[in-house]
Amino acid sequence: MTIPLPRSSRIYAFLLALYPADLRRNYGPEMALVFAEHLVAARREHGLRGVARVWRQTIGEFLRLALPGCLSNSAVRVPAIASLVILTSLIAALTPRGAPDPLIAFAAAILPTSNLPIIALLCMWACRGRAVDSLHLTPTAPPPSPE
Amino acid sequence: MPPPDQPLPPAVFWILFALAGGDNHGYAIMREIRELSEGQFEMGPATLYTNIQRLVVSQWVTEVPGPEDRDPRRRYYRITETGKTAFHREMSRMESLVRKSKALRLWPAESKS
Repeated sequence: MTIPLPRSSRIYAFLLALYPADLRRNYGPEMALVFAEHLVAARREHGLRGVARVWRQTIGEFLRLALPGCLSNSAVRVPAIASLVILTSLIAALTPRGAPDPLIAFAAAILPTSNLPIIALLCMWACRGRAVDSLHLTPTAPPPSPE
Repeated sequence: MPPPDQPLPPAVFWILFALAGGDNHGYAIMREIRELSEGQFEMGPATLYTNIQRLVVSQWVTEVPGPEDRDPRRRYYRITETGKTAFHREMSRMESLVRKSKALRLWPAESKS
């Protein structure tokens, strides 16, 4: 089933929010416009296969360009790791007793769900005063004025 | 941007190639790249604008007003003299590689004969 185009654009807008802030600020609306045009053209020319190809490319770009930037920022990394650990310990808590996965059992042992407030405080401490902005561009000269 | 003696990254090369033919907006650059590369190289909006941002910062590409009847949501880009120099240097490097490979009879058409 094809994802309707407005929904695709909404999903892309969500992904866009995770790209580096300077890229989003300078080119976000254009990126969303180009994505929508690219998707419409792909659907017109190749149907479902074209839409799938655009999404594969989009996810590839997201993993290559947005994710490293997100994970290099502790404001994102710490909550992401904490969520993963909490999820693991919840799964462990809900898994029937027997022979649990050793990794899950270890996570459950060191981080029981009763530690959630401590994890939340740690996340808030890690996030204080930080923003996601990580294209690592060199200091810039002002762009030349349009001719 | 890479030092002058280093090859250009493929995305940078294709964007400069697409803009060497004239000013264009983002989506037209993407389509032009697909045509120029005969479908061998495609890029999505994130790759395109990440590289356009770097090219603008390096002053290899600049933003221009575009035609009067343009869609106001679009921005137009133009290759600068610095960008043209880098593009021509890359083309010369490629030409030199082809020439050398032909001289050494490593060029596919000649190596078969």
